[in-house]
Amino acid sequence: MIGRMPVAGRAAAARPRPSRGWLRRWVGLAFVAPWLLAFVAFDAIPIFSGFYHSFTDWSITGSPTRFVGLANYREAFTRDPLFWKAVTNTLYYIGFSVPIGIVTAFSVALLLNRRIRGTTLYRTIYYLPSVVPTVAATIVWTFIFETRRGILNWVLEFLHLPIVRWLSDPAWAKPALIIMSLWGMGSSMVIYLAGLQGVPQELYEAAEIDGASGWQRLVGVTVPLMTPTIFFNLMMGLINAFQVFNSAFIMTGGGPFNATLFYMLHLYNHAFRYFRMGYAAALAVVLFVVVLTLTAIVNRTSDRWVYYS
Amino acid sequence: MSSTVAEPGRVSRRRLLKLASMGVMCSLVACAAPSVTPVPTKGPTQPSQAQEAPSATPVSATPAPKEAITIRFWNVWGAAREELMNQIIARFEEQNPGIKVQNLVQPFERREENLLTALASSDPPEVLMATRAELLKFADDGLIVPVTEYVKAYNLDLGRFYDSEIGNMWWKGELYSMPMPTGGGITCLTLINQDMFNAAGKTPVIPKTWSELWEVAKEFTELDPKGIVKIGATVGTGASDFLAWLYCNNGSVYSEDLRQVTFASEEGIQTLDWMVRFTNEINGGVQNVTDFFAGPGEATEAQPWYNDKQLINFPNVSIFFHMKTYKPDMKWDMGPRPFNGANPNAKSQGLAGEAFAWSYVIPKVLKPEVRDAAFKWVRKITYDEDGGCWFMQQQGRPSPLKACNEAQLYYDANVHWDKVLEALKTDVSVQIMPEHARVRDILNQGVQSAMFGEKTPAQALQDAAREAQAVVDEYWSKRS
Amino acid sequence: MAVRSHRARLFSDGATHLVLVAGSVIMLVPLAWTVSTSLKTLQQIAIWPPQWIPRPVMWSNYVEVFRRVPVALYLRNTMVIVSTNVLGSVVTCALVAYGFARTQFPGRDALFMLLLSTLMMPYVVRLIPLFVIYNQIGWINTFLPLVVPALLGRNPFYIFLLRQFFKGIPEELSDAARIDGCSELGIWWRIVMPLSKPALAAVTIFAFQAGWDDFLRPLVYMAGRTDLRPLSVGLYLLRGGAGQIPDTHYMMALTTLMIIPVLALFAAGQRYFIQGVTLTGLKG
Repeated sequence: MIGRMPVAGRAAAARPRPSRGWLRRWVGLAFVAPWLLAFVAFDAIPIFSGFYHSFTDWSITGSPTRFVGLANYREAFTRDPLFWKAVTNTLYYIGFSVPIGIVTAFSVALLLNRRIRGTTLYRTIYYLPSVVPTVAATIVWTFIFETRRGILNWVLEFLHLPIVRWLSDPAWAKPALIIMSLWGMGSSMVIYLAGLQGVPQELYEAAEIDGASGWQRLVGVTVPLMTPTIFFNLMMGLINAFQVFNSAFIMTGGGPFNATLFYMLHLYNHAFRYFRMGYAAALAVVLFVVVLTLTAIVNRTSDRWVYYS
Repeated sequence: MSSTVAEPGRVSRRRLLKLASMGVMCSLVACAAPSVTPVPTKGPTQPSQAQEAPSATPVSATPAPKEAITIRFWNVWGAAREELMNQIIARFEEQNPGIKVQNLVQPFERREENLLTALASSDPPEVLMATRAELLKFADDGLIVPVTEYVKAYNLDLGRFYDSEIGNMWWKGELYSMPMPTGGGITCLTLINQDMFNAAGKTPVIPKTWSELWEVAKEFTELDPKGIVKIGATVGTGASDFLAWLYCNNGSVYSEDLRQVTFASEEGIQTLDWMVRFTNEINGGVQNVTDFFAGPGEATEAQPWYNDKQLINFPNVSIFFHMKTYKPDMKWDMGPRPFNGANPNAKSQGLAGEAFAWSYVIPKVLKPEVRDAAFKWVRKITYDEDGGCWFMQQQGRPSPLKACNEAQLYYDANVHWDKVLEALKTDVSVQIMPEHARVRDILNQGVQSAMFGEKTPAQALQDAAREAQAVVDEYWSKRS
Repeated sequence: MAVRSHRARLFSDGATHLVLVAGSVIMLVPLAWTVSTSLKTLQQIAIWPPQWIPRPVMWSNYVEVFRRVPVALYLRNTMVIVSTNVLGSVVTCALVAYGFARTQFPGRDALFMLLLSTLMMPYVVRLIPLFVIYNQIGWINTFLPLVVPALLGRNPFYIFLLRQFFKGIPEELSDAARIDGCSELGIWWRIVMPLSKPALAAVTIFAFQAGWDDFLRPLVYMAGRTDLRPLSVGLYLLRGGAGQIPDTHYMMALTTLMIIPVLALFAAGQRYFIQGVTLTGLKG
């Protein structure tokens, strides 16, 4: 590949360019510039306005906005009975969906990366669910989860297991949504697949010659080399799971009895149903701070477990 | 390094370039499109004599402005109803040269965000469809204009509407819209499936009191380990159901001055207690009820009511239309909603939509002459016989206009039409305040916590009332 | 020895197939339901137990969908969103990602955290201020709010993803090129991009699909222009609401139609995941 470089032939004539040091120092910023421009134009104001409005009683419907100090935050932590419900629901969802999602998608990607017949077909099948528009997917799953006529309970009955009231039992509604989210794990599977292509084959061969078992090869070779990808999926999984919204919004509306009232649903209700944008902004800032802290921690630890070749 | 690896790289770059240029072309075309066909703008500002209040001169008499005024009509009347609305638009445009109406049908999904951003725009649609609770909030915050002056200027007779229906549209002495369709007309009613009575060899009865309902529901409800097989009746498990029963037990949501929350009264506690016992003892619990009616939406043929699995129904107003579609040969009857026979002050009473009556609002930022045109359109789809009335008749749904409902086609389509009309006359408009959406959700939390056995009905309602009262107090403290 | 390992391989392949087939069934059942529903009448949908192959098969649903939804027009609009989304992510996001992954400049890591943090402020509170901005610059009811940010690479997800992959490419390659007098832009284009094809293929598919399914933004930013609507909005229009009977069968037909192009793209693009790029001998 290097041999193809147009300048390769002149390698010997390569000369240092100290005068371009300034350029070297700032050229990266030029690469980042388009995004930075977009950030300043379209992100900075909305994000700042979120922070600002969290200290007001802004309603967006035109009633005069007043500065209320920390009142919105106080309300969230002390007076809003659904705030903690929404927090626990969301943490439950994150605690299960993120790790299970990572393990499942990674395992499937490993299987699909094997040189066996039909991988093309398998990959397409496993990716298929994630191309189904959310609204259609939720309608289909509503049928599947039905207590009396759903396919899932039919399977459970067939296996002589007790049936489950997936969407009407507060104890089962969250697991139901997690199952549905696993069904759509195609995207992270694709990312793992792409990552697996960067694992040099000869490392396996070397490990095999050393007599490493399949498991040892996985733990010793594949996983370490995949850590950048795992890191990515973990970060995105966290960021997205904290803001889980669509499935619950369309399928359960937060029910039964608030079992799927996730943080974003609660936030949404205050913003667009009660016209309490100020309070919603405070909820958003709390979420922002929590997610930022958590991802910063993950990011900090990444030095210890993420290896970039 | 061999050059074989490099080869695909080169090809892919060429491909990428191709794709890139295609993309740029596409996006350029796209970006150019809007400027080629600009957003329809309103006519030039005419030096208006009456800048302030809507001009009282009927505009139809004035010559049409050089450029047509366009009324962008933001609404959720989709599917078959879009076609009907387009026919009204065609008539309206013919009657009002110089005004064009654009039918902006929106998906129901994410309606709230869509509505709010549309209203927040500096160039909002001229007429927007909103719920009654939203109308109140917008009116209270001065986002929309009252139409009281227009009604006077055009000499409209509000007495043509049912009192409760037009009563839904007032806030602080000003009228903000006229109604279409009805908010009520059904909340006071009980439908029974006579086929099921006959199949069981029983004489069909319409229960009149809560205890009669209890008896017949118990008799006809069939349970199995998976839940409900057949249901006599459910009294519902949410806030809207509670409110319907509350008003059949002489209760209320707010005090007359809208400053006190009153649903945790003795009547309220009685009502919720009865609902919870009914749900647990007859239906086997709230989860059974949810499961029984679960599935692909409320308006489908799979629903128990169309399959002889539900004896008594307290439906919403589109039921007549759906019954004609799904079970045209069903024998059914209808009577008033059961009231609490143990309360001497209670009687059957329906609500003309406490939160969900539809209205059509006009944003404040419009220029006067555009407002005028917007009102003409609102009038067409609410007040006029060839507008709102016709729209309802085509769907077999009751209209908020009394005279409209006398059309023979209703009687032909619905053997019990007279009872619907009776209900419309007796329904009441529950006076609500701008924070009602929140109060209602708090109430719903209370009802749910009693249904799921977390709290006793009394405790649940008292807690909810305390929380709701804080919301109401906060509202009034800001206004004073 | 060879025989044993051959047997072991056969066994493990068999086990893999078994697991994958079982998983495939789970993945496909909801899909089968979608397609089957798209070929039913509303009455047939209500039948229990469900008919997987409806009798009769309502091919006419697919004709009806075209009558209910201006598919060609909406498809054109969808393609505008999709093409800019893909272009912006494959080119601009890749440039930005290179800046974050392979260059040093003061404040780089802080900026990257800023980039990630834009994903963490919920859209709910950003929607109205952003709408106000677009409104002030006259972009409402045009494609611009969807097109311009996409072309500027305002998509942290893709930037982050590509950055992860770019970081995995050995620095020695860039260094060698630098010594050869190659500019940073040249390194990005000649070395990093060709070596990142699996990631770029993934990003292309994601960007395509994200644009394809984008519902809320077109809905809100172009609510006043029914002629600029994408297919996703058309899909929701079939869902009903406000007492309207949902046209589930037509909706599923449109869903089926909408799945096909994305799936075709995936099937076509996935050879890039398999092919990959061998870095043989680079470190040796």
